[in-house]
Amino acid sequence: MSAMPLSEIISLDPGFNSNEPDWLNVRRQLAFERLTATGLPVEGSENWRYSSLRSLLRKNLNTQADVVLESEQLLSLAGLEQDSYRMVFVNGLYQAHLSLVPDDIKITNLASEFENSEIDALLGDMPDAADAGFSYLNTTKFQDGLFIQLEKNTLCEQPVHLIQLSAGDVLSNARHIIHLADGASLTLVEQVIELSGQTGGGLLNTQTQVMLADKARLDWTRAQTLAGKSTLVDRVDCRLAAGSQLHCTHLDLGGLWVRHDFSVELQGQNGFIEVDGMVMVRGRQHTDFHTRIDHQVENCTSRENFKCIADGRGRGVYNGKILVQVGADGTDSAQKSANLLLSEHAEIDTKPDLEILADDVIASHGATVGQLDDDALFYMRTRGIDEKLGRKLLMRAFCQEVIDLVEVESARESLGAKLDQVFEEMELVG
Amino acid sequence: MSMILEVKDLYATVEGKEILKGLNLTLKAGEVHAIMGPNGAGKSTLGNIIAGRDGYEVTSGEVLFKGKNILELDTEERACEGVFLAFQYPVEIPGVNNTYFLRAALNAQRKYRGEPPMDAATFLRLVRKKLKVLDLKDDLLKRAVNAGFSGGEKKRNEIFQMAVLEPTLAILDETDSGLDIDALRAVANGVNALRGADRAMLVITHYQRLLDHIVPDVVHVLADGRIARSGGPELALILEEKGYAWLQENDSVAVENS
Ligand SMILES: Nc1ncnc2c1ncn2[C@@H]1O[C@H](COP(=O)(O)OP(=O)(O)OP(=O)(O)O)[C@@H](O)[C@H]1O
Ligand SMILES: [Mg+2]
Repeated sequence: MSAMPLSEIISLDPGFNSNEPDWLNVRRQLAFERLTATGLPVEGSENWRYSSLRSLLRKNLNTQADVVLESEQLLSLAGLEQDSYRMVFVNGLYQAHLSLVPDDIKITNLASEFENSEIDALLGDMPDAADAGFSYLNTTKFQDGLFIQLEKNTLCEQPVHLIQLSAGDVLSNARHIIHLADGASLTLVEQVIELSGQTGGGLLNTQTQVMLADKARLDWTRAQTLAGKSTLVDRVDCRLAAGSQLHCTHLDLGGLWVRHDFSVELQGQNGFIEVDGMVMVRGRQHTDFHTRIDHQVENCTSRENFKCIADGRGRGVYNGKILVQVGADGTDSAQKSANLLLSEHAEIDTKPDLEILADDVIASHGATVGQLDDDALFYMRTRGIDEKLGRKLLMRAFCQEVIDLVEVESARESLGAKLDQVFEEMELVG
Repeated sequence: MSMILEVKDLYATVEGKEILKGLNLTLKAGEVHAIMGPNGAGKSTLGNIIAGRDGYEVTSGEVLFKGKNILELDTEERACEGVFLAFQYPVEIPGVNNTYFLRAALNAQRKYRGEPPMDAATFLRLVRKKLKVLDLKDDLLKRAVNAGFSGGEKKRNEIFQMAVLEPTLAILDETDSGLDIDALRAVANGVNALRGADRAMLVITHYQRLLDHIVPDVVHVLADGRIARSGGPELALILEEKGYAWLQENDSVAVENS
């Protein structure tokens, strides 16, 4: 099939695929019906007001690219060791020969589990919303993804790496499921990377379902360093049972147009979610980060700490919805959004959005937009540090708080190095 | 003796307001000069202009450092040439580690001089040596630059930086203000340790007591944008006793002297 604009791709009926189980055919049909009814979100929709799809819809996308990737190349691209556990996908397709998983734990690719009757339930209810078009698109088209299912009290000692490579101007739809049973614990490091040597310009549409049962714990780092022409639409839906903990740290450095929807339902008491993000936009980059934390029951805690540096004509959007439902008494929620605006043509739109329907709730939030501290710069210069290095040190300092949250040392270091590289490339302005 | 600093008939304005009005000052190698003077006289302004802070306009006159016009240089170039300003109000830089910062500064200066960067281990040894002289607590090194430091800790940190960077000209802007007796002695030790035949220091202070520890060669009084009076260490004692009003009473003498 030749390249086609996204606006036409969404009207392709997935049809009935006899190689796939019935539940999946049913799901795809329902998703297609809803997609046909809603289309992809348009600017009129409140949640998408800052993120115009106009040029994305016109984008010509292929269904697949020819990719040859050797193990050595992958390891160096992703900064992995020979023996790092890893699940590798290129344009949403599983690469068994590049992957390595422990054999005593269920970490596999989703397509190999399609006959597993649990999968349908784990995928959860399909959203029913006028602006869920990308989710429908994903369901009509996804071929594969990561499937992790940890049994009760399983601890996966080594971090598992999820590597998603984007290659060429391809539409990829990946679908991941992470399911941790009672007391299970996992550290996951996800990277969305451009395959070097490819031109970029693809659209990666990923969706992840996370379910943490009682007292399960997931530590999840998500780093995105796509090429300057690529786009990413990412949706994460998490359900947290009693006493479970999710720490999720995002780092977005690349991509031309990026949208995240990160949603958490706190369904059991004493659940804990911390979601943080460091977003860097420059050139004409656009990154829109929406979070939604839904406190459904008593005594849960949520923490959000988002930072953005906007330079050039970059635009960073952050919208943090916190919903504290009736009866979710004793909720403790804090949200912070700190931003650096480095150019007069850059833009930051940050909005806390709190809806509190319960009693005895702590909900703090704060948003700041500032510039680099001139006094600090002068101070450094009086010690011999030139302006460029001074600015780098100040930007690094601004980001450090989020970088420090990355639990896996090798990932923390390589992300720090990637940040430094971005700072190095930045034009020295005024 | 060679010239370190020559300020010649310097006039400068801040936001259109004239602050320095014909200031003359000469420091030779090996000398320590003290500058005293009433609040708002222009002492910090002089330090800031020598260091190259934005917002000050030199309307006439010149500033030579080792014979070179430094007003043409960027702030960091002046630092690399050997000019150091200990701030009256040191700046907090949250998130930037004190040791990392200082090594970056030292290596920037070494690079400017065409020397190879100092590796972390050698640097650490240097730092330990200087810490001893200054009687400074180790943990300040691990913290962010001045962030959450007490007033006294900030001032000690300035002197510590000076000790590591070993400038040719050090301008200390009220480094003694707010120090307890022990800290004052530590700061004075740091300054005295750096005194040497090829360096000069300009010590801005309001209090005679610092000058008991750092005995200056010359004491100047800066009033209304110019040096109103210069003398030996005894001048500080007279001022301490009589206050700056005494200067005005003796104004005619000052004019004759200048
Ligand atoms: N950036 C500035 N903007 C406006 N006015 C300034 C600025 N910097 C200095 N001034 C003014 O210049 C004058 C001299 O200030 P300066 O700080 O040099 O005084 P000083 O002699 O150091 O006083 P102190 O003993 O109180 O430290 C003051 O009137 C001050 O208000
Ligand atoms: Mg002053």
